[in-house]
Amino acid sequence: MKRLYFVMLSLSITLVSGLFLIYSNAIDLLGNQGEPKRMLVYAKSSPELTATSDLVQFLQKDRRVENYSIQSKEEIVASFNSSFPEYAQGINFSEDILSIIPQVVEISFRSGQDARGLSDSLKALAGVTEVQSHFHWLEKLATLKSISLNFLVMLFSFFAFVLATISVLMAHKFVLNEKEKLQIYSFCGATQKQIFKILFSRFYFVSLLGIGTGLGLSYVLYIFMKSKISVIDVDHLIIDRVRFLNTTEILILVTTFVLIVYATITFSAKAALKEVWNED
Amino acid sequence: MINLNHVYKTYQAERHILRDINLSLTAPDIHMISGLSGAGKTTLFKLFIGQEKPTSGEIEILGKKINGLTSNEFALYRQQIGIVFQDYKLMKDETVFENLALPLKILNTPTSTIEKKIAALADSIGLGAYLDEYPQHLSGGEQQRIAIGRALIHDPKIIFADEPTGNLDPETSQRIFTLFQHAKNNGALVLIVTHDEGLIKQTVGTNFSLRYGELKRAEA
Repeated sequence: MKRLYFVMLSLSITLVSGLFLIYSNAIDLLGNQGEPKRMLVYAKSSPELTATSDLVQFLQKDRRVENYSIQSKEEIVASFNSSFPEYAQGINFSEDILSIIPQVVEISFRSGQDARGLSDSLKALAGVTEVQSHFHWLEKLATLKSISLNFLVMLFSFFAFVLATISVLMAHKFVLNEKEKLQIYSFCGATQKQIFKILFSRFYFVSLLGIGTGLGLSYVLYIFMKSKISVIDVDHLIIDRVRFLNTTEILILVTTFVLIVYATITFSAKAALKEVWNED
Repeated sequence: MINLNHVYKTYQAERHILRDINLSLTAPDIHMISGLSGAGKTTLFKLFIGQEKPTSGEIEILGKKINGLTSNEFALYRQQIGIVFQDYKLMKDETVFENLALPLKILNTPTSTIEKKIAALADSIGLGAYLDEYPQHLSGGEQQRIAIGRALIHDPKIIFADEPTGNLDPETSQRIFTLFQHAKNNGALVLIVTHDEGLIKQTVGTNFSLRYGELKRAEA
């Protein structure tokens, strides 16, 4: 019985932590494509944007806009020169070239504000040549991420529920198997406190061993998963971002299991002791 | 030390397993309760050790009414008695030593004292060579001796024994009875429930007979 409990607990931990591992890595790999909060606006180079420009006036008044920053043509050229010095050497930034470089306005939105209609309003303003928001693709990505994560959450919850139930039943059966022994302790004069202590000390070791083995197995699973990914991920775009559960995640997982198993042991032990002491 | 007043035990309506049991016993002594199968011997034994409660009446042992004790008081009561079960009730996955040591461990006895007491007792019940063995590898008679040893190890004030010599040969039975006599000489009250004629004949105290749920002094 003790061996079976150990095996079931280890497998439960392995499967739950394995799913959790996939879930947390999926979140990391898919990135944080939540509600887009940033928009780049390219304005015409002439006339120069001033405090009285339509675009600036609009941005100052619109409640959806949290803040904005204007990059001047000179700042853009300086940024280009520092980022691409080899290319910059061959370019002569004469007045003609400068005249076709647009000024860039970067806009941030307040969280919770729906800024999708803003793109059209900005395009209608004088001097605005292009508005890049990536709303469309970001929304598609966010939907995809949401669907896949919801699926993983459902799968994770289902497995966690099934395996927690199995662990609970195993723990319950384990205690009931100890009933005869509890009765012997009781006949020899052990107090309830002493019996609980003995029972928990017996469970403590097996449960810790089961949880440790489960985590060990999930680490093996992680190494296996990584080796499989490395075969297809030649450029190391994914492999470098795949990670094992961090300390907080392990603590949450272990604490949850320990609480579930120990709550079961307590309730089962109380039921068994009640029978032993014939208190019905 | 043991007082039973108008004790009744009824399992089904109108079916009295024990009826109007009145008993008063004091230490040190050895008493026997005999009777045919189904006479109510084991039920009476269970009432003594608190495994069952009387339907009516009062059981007072060691100055306490045992049917009204809290679980902690009940544990303290059991720490003062020794129990020998017909089916031994041994821990199968613990060694003979661990089985014998259990009552002492519950009383938080130091390990050195436990070892000394077990060494002395194990020799007197013929288990000295088996301390590291597991009960399931031993014979029925040897298992019964472990059960008896466990009941005696903590020098209890009262020893309740249900068929303690049921599986033992006459020689070992005699050794066990000698142990009970030692316990009596140390001030204990020994109450044996049995149908072993050989054991009944050795009674030095009172021999009671249970018949149809009624307890009577057996005639000599």
